[in-house]
Amino acid sequence: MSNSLSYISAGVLPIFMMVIILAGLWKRVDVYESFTKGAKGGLGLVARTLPYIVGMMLAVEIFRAAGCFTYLSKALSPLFGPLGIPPEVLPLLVIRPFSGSGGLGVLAGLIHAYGPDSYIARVACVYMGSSETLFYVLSLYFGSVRVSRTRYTVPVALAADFFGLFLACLVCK
Amino acid sequence: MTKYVWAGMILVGVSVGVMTGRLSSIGDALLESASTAATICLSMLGIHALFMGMLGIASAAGIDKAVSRFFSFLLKWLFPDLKKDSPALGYIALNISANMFGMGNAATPFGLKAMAELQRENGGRQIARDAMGMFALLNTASVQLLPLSILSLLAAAGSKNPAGIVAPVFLVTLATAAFAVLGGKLCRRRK
Repeated sequence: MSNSLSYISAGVLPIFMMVIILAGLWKRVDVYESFTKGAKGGLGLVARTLPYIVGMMLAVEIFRAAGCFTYLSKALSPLFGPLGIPPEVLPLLVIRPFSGSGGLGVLAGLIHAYGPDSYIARVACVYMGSSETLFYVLSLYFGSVRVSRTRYTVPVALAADFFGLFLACLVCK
Repeated sequence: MTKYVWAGMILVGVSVGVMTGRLSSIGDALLESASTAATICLSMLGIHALFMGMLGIASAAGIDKAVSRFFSFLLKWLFPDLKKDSPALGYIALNISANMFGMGNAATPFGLKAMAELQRENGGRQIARDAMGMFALLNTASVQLLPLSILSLLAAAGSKNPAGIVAPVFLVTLATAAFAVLGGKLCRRRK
C-alpha cells in the first residue's frame, strides 16, 4: 500500500506545478514575478521556524542519547503495541495540539534520530500533516468572539486527532 | 504544555544520563543537534521558497477563490442553519481553501472574520452555535493538499522519496476531516 501511495505522490508534485503555471498564464498573471514574490515569503517562514527546531531537536536528542526512548517504548508497548503506534511519537502527540512550530521541531528531531525513511519518521510525518494545533485554533477562534461554552468541539477534535494517529500507523505499515 | 514537555525531556534525559553514565554522549548529541538544526533549516529554505513561489502564482491566478466556489455546495450541507446569502459562508470557503493549500497565515484572518460573522448572527451569546462548532472542527481537522513543511523537512534530511508523504497525508487528512464532520453532525442539537 505504502509503495503505490508513494508512486502517486511522486507524480503529483510536477503535475501540480504545471497546472498552477498554466492557470497563471491563462489568467494573464506575470507568473515569474508572482513566483519570486511568493518565494520571498518562504525566507521569513523558515527564519521564524529555526529557533523552534533548534530548541526541540535539542530536547529530542538529549532524550534519545540518554536512552530514554528505549525505556519509554518498553513502558508504553503494552498500551501502544496493539494499535501499532510507535511510542517514540509520544512527545509529538503531546506537543502537536498546542504548538505547530514546537511539533515541527519534535518532528525534525525524530526524523534526524531515526532516519527520514524509517517507520517512526513516516508515522510522525503523516500524523503531523493530518493534525492541527487544535487547542490553539479553538481558543483563538472561540476567544475572538467571547464564546466560552464550546460544547462538543474539544472532545470531537481530540478524537479526530487520535484517529489520525491510528490511521497514520495503518497507512505507513 | 509545550514548556513542560520541553523542559521535562531535557531534565529527565540529563538525569537518566547521570545515572547510566551516558553524560558524554549527551554532550555530543547536544552540540550536534544544534548544528544539524541549522543545516536542516538551510536546506528547507530553498524548498520552502520554491513552494511558496508556486502558491504565489496560485493566489495571483485566483485558484484559491475558484476552489472555494467549488466548495459552496458542500458548505450548504455542512452548515444547514446558515442562510444561503450569509457573508459567513464566503469567509468559511476562503478559510478552508487557504488551509488546504497550507497557507495557514492566510487562513487565520478569514477564519476570524467567519467567526465574527457567525457570532453577529448568534446575537453575541456565550454558547457556541452548531455552525461555530462545525467550522472550528473543520479547522482542527483540515484537509491538506500539500504538507509543505513536512515535505521540506524530509527532503532536507535526505529522504529517498520525500514526495512519497503527500498521498498518505492527503488520505489521512481526508479521513480525519470526515470523522470530525460526522462527529459534529452527530453531536449537534436535535431539533
